[in-house]
Amino acid sequence: MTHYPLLFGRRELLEGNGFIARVSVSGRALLADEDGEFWVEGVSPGGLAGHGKSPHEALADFSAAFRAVLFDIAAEANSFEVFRQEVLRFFDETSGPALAEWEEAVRQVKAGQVTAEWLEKRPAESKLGIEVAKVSQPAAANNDLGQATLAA
Amino acid sequence: MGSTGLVTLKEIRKMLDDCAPGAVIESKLHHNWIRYAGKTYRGLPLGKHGARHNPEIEVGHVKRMARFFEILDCARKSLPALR
Repeated sequence: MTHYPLLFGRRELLEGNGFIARVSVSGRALLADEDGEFWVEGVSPGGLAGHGKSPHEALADFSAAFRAVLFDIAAEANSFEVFRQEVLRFFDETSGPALAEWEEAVRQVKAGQVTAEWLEKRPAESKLGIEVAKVSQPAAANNDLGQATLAA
Repeated sequence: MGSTGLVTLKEIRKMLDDCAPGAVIESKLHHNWIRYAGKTYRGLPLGKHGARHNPEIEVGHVKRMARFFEILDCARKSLPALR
């Protein structure tokens, strides 16, 4: 089984109860090729996964799962601040075992033992985090398609 | 780590009783949330056909949930489909 250490960035705009929020995440995930079935497992944030018949399908499923988690949090939050706190908690719940495999996979990428030509590379030490902002003045400049890169 | 096949939510609940006593399953709009030991797994699917009684869930998701809670060794013994 091959593991690929990913860095992913996404920006989601969503409605909550009485607010509109923008969530921008720079996170880590682990892509695994398991005999033709591809799985993407959240590292930071942990607590979610996606799968598919190809890496792109698995990434799309993971992205949909990430959005669905935000929707579930928004559905239960009765204020923007409650939503923000729960999203921060979600991001901070790193998966320890997945992180250990992610770090080993980074080592293999740096050693040239794992390659993924279909992914751009970024430094594994890139800044991680999640920002939750209340949207009061929407602007097209805030739109972002998001991306996944190979941590190297 | 093979990840094919389905297990029922009832089987998952039994595995959690064995390996993560006190774990709570909460059904949300889009996912099941599992709370245990101060952590929450927020991405367990509702099931192949959405929320319903005792839905079937992909083994791969259950394995990753068990890894997240660091109970995979126990989970494999309790739920043979995870092996």
